Amino acid sequence: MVDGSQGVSGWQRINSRDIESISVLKDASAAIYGARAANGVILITTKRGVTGKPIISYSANFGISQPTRLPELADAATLAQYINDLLVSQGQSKRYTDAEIQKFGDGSDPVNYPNYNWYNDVIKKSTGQSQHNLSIRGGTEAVKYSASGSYTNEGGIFKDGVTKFKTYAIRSNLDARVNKYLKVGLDLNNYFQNGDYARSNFSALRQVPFYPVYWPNGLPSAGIEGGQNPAIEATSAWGNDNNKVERIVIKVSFDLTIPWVKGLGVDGYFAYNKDETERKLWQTPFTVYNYDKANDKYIPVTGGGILLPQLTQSRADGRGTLYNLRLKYDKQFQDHHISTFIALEQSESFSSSFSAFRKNYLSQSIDELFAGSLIDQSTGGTSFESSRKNYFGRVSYGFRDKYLADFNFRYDGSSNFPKGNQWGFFPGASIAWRVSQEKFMKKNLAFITNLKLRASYGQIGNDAIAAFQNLRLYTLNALGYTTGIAQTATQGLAAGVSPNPNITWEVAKIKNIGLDASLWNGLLGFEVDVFNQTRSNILATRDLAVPAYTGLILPSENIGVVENKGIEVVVSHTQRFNNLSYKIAGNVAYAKSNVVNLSEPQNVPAWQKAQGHILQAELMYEAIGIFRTKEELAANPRWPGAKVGDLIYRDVNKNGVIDAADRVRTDKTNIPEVTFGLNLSMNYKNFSLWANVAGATGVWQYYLLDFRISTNNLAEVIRNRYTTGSMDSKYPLLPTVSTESEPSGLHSTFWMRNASYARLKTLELSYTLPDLLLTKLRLSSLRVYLNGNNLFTVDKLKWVDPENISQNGSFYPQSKIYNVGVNVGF
Amino acid sequence: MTHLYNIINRATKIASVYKGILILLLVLITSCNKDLLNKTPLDRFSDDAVWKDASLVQTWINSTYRTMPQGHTSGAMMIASVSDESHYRTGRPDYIVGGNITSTTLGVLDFWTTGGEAGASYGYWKVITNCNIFFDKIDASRVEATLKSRMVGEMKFLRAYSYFKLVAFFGGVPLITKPFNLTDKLGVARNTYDECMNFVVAELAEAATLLPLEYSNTEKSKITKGAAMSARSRALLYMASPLNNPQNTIAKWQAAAAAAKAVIDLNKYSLFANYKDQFLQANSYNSESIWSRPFNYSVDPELTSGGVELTLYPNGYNGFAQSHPLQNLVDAYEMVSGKLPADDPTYNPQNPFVNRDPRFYASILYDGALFQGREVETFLKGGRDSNEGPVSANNATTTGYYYRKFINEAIVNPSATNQGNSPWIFIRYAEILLNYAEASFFLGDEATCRNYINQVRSRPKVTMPPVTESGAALLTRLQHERQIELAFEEHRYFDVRRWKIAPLTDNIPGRKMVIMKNVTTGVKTYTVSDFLPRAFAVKNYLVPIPQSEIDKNSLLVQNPGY
Repeated sequence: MVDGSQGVSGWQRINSRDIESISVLKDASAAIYGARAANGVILITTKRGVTGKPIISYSANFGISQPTRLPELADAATLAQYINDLLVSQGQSKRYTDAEIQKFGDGSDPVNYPNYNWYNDVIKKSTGQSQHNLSIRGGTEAVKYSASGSYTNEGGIFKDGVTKFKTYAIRSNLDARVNKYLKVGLDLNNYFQNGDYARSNFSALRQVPFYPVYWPNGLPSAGIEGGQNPAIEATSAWGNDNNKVERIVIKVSFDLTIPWVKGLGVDGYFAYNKDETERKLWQTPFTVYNYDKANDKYIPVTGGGILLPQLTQSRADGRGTLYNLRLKYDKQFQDHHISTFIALEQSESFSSSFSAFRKNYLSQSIDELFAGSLIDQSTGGTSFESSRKNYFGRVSYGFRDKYLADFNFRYDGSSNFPKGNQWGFFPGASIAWRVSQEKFMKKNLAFITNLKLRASYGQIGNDAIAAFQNLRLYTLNALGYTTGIAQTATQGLAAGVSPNPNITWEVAKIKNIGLDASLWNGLLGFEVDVFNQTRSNILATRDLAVPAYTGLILPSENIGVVENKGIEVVVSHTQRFNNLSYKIAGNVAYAKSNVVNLSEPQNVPAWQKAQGHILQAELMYEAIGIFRTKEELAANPRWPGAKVGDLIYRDVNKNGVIDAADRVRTDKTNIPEVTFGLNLSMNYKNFSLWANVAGATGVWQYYLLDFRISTNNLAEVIRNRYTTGSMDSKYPLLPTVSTESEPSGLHSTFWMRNASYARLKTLELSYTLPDLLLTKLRLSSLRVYLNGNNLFTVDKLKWVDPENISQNGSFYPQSKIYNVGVNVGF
Repeated sequence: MTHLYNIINRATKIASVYKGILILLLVLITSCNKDLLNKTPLDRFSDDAVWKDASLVQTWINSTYRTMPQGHTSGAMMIASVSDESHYRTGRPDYIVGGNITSTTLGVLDFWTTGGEAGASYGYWKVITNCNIFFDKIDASRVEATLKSRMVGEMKFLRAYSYFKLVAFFGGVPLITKPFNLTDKLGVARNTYDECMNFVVAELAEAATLLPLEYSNTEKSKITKGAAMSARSRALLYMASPLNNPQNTIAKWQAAAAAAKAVIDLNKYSLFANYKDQFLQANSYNSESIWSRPFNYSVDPELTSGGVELTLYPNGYNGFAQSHPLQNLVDAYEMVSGKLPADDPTYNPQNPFVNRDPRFYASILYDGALFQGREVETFLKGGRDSNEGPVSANNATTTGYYYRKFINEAIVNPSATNQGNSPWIFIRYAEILLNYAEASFFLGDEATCRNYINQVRSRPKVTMPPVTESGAALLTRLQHERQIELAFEEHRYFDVRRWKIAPLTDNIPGRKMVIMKNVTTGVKTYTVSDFLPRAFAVKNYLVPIPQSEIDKNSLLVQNPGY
């Protein structure tokens, strides 16, 4: 929620300097925010004007980023040896002689037997980024204003790459008091982003070390095949994928106090947003070279997968309107405080898209549609609309700020469901007791500054599914059949889902009890939350239970129940001395889901049922060792075709062979069981230090690594692979993952790696200029800082960054960022 | 008095503000129209719109055609790679030819839940579902009668052919002719082989009566009467074959012979003079092609990962060379004498590629073959198309050979956008001649059998000496002719099974050719060796039903042995 408006697109890119406050609602109190609040709500409030002289501030930030961790790939000698082993196991002859491998290793002939490191040669040591923000705030009792402009600029990580990303934002919040009873507001917000990208397929960097990015004479190499040199594909030689987004949000609001009834008021707003996305994908062919050693010749190859340039230009437009109207009543009767409202909200959104394509450009000099060939050009476009309507309200009651009770409800309608099933009623309630407000506490336990017990219950509906699943619809597409002498394309028609007329809201019931305490004025504080969320009527497809021959394309159906339980604890310690103050806060959260009921195939064995397991739990073979000898191989149940050096799996059903029935539902997923964090902030005189550590345990990542002859892979695994006769290798025969005939490549627990970590997310040191100096400089404030992100990580994984979720370990790496910045107030 | 006036004045002022607000509220509330939540799809067609409009029904049929699995989608020659014809470089189907297929590892033979190697956009059950929906709707539709009957013929054909293929892989399958709804009971048992095949044959016969013999120039590539009759000929031949006709019921062979002869008697089809060029886009709809699937990348980029050229060209020609012909097949190409190399004293194992059946040169690229201005070099050390070559050495052949069939040799440096668009030919006339020859043999008419084999052998650009054998030797020649003539065209996998010779052909290792070139003398040494373990068990006559499907449906009974 940004300033009260829900689901504002691009909220992640609001400049932090424009933000007044951020708060997070995790318990059932989020329920009042409706359909999209089941996983909690983030409330962002942007800065507004304040009474007084204009305050002008400027802030600038300059940073450099580096990948946190790049995988270490095998060197030429190690890989050459592995390729030989692999070829021999496939019945082929070795490619390298021992003498050649020797030369790869000792570097005695770097021209003919090189050892290139592609990551080093393609990825920059560091990339720059900068941010600027200029703002002015001020106003009188009658009119207050806040306006700001921001600019950010980030570069890509590829050497000579085209990747760059810029954003521009203007935000203006205006508040006016018309008279004693009426306030109006006008917020304008304009955002523009412009990004250039190339084909930066990160996994393509796993090139073998036998050839370089550029040959010694400067010509680019051809890469593995098809002229796909990822370093060249990151440059403008490949073309440019330009993405522009422009977003306008206008919000008009009013707040009216009704004078005849004290405490009664009406407020509301109308918001309009417009999003425009433009994409221009310009692709050009380029020339790369293979080197023919025998004849000392460079053989050119056309890269880019095309012979002549081509352009795809597309745009998508989105428009949305939102009305919100609220009747509110807020009054204190001696010890009793009542606050209540009832509201109506209605939103509509409309989106449309358009795209055009031309190819066979005669020249590379103009990347506009007109310059492409008239033959085989194509266009496309479509529209979509959706709406929601909600009634919601709340009654809050407080007695002396001690006993608090709150009832709320929502009555939500969504166009994603058919008539008759559109509406859902979702009530909620919460109670709280501020024990510390009790007299006996104040008297006897005065060191308890604050103690609050709270409990809440709420229901939230979820309508986040594709619309019109109650209808049988057909999509007209370009996937027809080529016909005629001329072999022209025809259109095709694809059926949508089988209609589900009963489709309706998914419901999440959230229960939460908590305790907030603060002792000795914050010297020690803690918060404890225990929660239980049960999602029922889950909108999911029944594909696990529907045979292929039915040809049914399944709609979402309200099936299944999943429970999610957990506890969250925050402990904090605040201390203040003369010149020194600090706060340390630690938080730990444990959460675990449990499938209560899901549509499952009827005939699976007990150990494969999803019921009773984590929602994402997968079926895996349980690896229990590596076959070291022929005898061992013969004596154990094995996968058909298993060899010495392959993984041994547990024969769960004891039928003497390893087959799919031996897969076990495994509660190891990449959703962490435990997340934790530690915040430290410290002020000494004019210096401040802030540190944030975050981490997770009970988190596992599955890796599907393909050790092929065409690509490089993790050095550590290749070095410690099984080789003939090895009795203690760390890894089995390495799979190429291109065939089911590789027993060690089966989806097994062996390749499930512990991805637990703790990471210093932020460390910041800042200095604020003392007032004396400021006066001399005629400034109202000045703060300089140094900070860093992801500076330090502790983990067990080592292969790649632990915060990745890529099965092949190839992903655009997380960044370590060093920043220096200044905030000045004039 | 003034005081009162002031109060009134202020009150009216306030009232006017309120009036404004109230009007705003009224506008707001009235603008909340009742139908706010009732949107209609702007991006898709409704059921009603589709089935009343002949043009939209036509697009439905187009999609159904497209969904039919065929050999060129992956370009990787996967069915050839699970037979004794070729080897897939990465070894993906090796466990299948090694006899280790299981009900959870159907891999490239999973034509049940997907379209096999072609992927999830294709599939026989998808085609069948499309047809069943069509038949459910077409009666009530307002399509003009002549067009409607042709459409019914096309869809009957597509459904019957899909069942034919499913049955060829899996044996009897559930015979489903009505579309399912969400609330239906979804568990269905398998029908028998005969139930399924009788349905196939009857539907194809009916389709033949509804379909035209020829289409206009704008509609070529659609199913013709001849295609339906030809598919029926193949179906009846499979039904009569030893695997499916253990009693050797003569009536089945008579039906197969009659069906093939009916196609011949149409006098519409004839052998295309150039064996190799019949597979090229330029010769789509040639006199021999009975049913083919065209591709045209420039208007319909379906084969986005590249056509046969990118997929099959040698590494030295910038191809990915994903599949490589086995020595087992190369050895089966006769010498021009009409004898197998093993039986011909003129055959020199150290000069093996001379004087072979012209179809060898048309189908296989071997070391020394002239291709795009130079000789193919699979020799070691350093052959440009070997795994020591300068270009994408990882893509080199595993057998010593590359494909030459299907490719358009005019394509240099192939890529996804630079491809020859060769059509996939499902059925061509040479097969029908061999179908007739085979049925005639089993009916005891050996003269006719020889006559039709020799027609295939005497194609202008082939002209191999006539077959003269009789009895068991003639059957061997007949089977051999089919192996050579229809190599890589997705026949061999089924043929060795229905003839029940798979225990011989598929129980021997895959072989490769290694050629070492003496650097100083230039003399090449040819060595053939085993490299690929291959095994065939009785259960492998059929592909197992996917376990995931049995898990969903207790009525599905697994094939024996799995």
